[in-house]
Amino acid sequence: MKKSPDTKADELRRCAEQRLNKNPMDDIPREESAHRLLHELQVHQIELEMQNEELRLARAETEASLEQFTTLYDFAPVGYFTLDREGVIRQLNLCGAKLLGSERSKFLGRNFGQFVGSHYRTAFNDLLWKVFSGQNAAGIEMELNHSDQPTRFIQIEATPDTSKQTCRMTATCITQRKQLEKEVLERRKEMEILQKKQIAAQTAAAIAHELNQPLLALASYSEAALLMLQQKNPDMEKIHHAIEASERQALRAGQSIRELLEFLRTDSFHIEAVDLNSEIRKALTLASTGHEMQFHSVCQLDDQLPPVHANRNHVQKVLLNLIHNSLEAAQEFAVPLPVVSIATRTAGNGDIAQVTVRDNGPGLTPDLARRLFESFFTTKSYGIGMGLIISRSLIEANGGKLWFDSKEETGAAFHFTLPLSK
Amino acid sequence: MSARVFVIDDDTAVRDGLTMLLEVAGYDVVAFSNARSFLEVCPANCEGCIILDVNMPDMDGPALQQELLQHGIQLPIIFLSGYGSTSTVTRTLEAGAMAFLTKPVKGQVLLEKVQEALRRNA
Repeated sequence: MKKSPDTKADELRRCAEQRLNKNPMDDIPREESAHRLLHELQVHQIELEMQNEELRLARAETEASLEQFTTLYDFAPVGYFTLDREGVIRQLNLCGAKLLGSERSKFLGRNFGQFVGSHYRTAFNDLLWKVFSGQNAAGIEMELNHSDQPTRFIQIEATPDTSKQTCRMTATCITQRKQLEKEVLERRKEMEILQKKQIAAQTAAAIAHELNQPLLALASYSEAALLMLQQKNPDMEKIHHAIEASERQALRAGQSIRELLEFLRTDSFHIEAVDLNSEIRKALTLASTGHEMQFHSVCQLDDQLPPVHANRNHVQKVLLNLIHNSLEAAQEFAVPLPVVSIATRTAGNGDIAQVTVRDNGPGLTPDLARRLFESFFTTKSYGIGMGLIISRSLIEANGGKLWFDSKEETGAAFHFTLPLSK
Repeated sequence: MSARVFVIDDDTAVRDGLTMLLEVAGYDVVAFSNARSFLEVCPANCEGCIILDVNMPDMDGPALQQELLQHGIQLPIIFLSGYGSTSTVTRTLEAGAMAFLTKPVKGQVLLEKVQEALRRNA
């Protein structure tokens, strides 16, 4: 608490009197009035000395404090600017001058907007306007434009001062961060291209496998028929069988191509908000009518699941493929009552939906699981398999992921994710 | 007794077609739908040659080749693959495979390779 001027003066007087009493001037004649006057003068003198000392101390303190704040301002590792309503630089610290690329004196009185990259000028003016009109102005990132300097990126924040005639602005250099971000983005793009190439190669290998099997069988049957025709007494029945088998294999190859085209057909890649739960119910109905096998379905669908952002046909094809896969696995292993369980839930940071399709078959061994998505791989003795790799391509084209996990006791489970509609 | 050819492929039609071709060409053919069932019946003093599919579930062609080498079974192997990756071709040939053919293969070419394999094994 501050002392009032009166009390301060009183105290000063008391202190001066005390000092004088310690050194009484005994050699001065004790004439009453003269003595009193002298006393008064002495007290005043001491008072002045004390005030002088106080002032000296206060000045030293002020100087030290000024120096401290100047150092703090000038050598702060962020740029500080004081701008007027037009954006003219009224004050700036050393780091600010360094960010702009020259000595401090060169920037005083110049408009900060001159140093802002042309693409960012509107954003900067908007920030100034907001700051001075008392609106909440979030910090912005911008590029600094200085002819003989390499490109610099800064992040600025500004608040008006009490007069509302100038504002205080900080500028932080984020060039390095921007460069890193750019590099990360480039790496990610490279990775995505690589991944796409890999998936394309796997899909091509899958198609090659699917077509080369019947073609090899066809070539073998035909060659066998030709050889038999060259024999002395050709077995016509066997030749007939070989030609019939050739025809079947040619048709099988054709069927594979048709299925593939059907699967890949994307009339138009129309993305919309899709209710996954209702698509799952639809797919289960389709599967139970389209499959000769009887099966039991268990749905654990999250009623609160928001719609996903995807192509409806793709979602339908992937669901049908996974259901058929489960049923065919059940058939292969002669499971008495095949059960297909489908569950939905939100996952990630609440921004994706996850679907799990599970069967009650024996599951897959770790070795099989590892090779599941390898080139073209199927455990079935006839066809299929291609569905999985294409399903994965379709899900990835819709911004999701498809993967597999197997626990011996619970059968095989396939999971896929899709982004939720915003 | 005619020479024996083992056909190992998981595709029913491929097995059937190859069997017919080889039988017509005069060979004794035994076909298997997977590598393990072949291993179960193949004795160490087995004779003949193998036509082996590369991509099969469970144990694939190259894995069977390694298994046979470990058991000291020296049957010549003709690999058949729908899409031969360079590394697989190199690996199998370095491990002593007779040939690496791409599906579909011309019947005459396959028969020539079989003949060559059996001659080499004799």
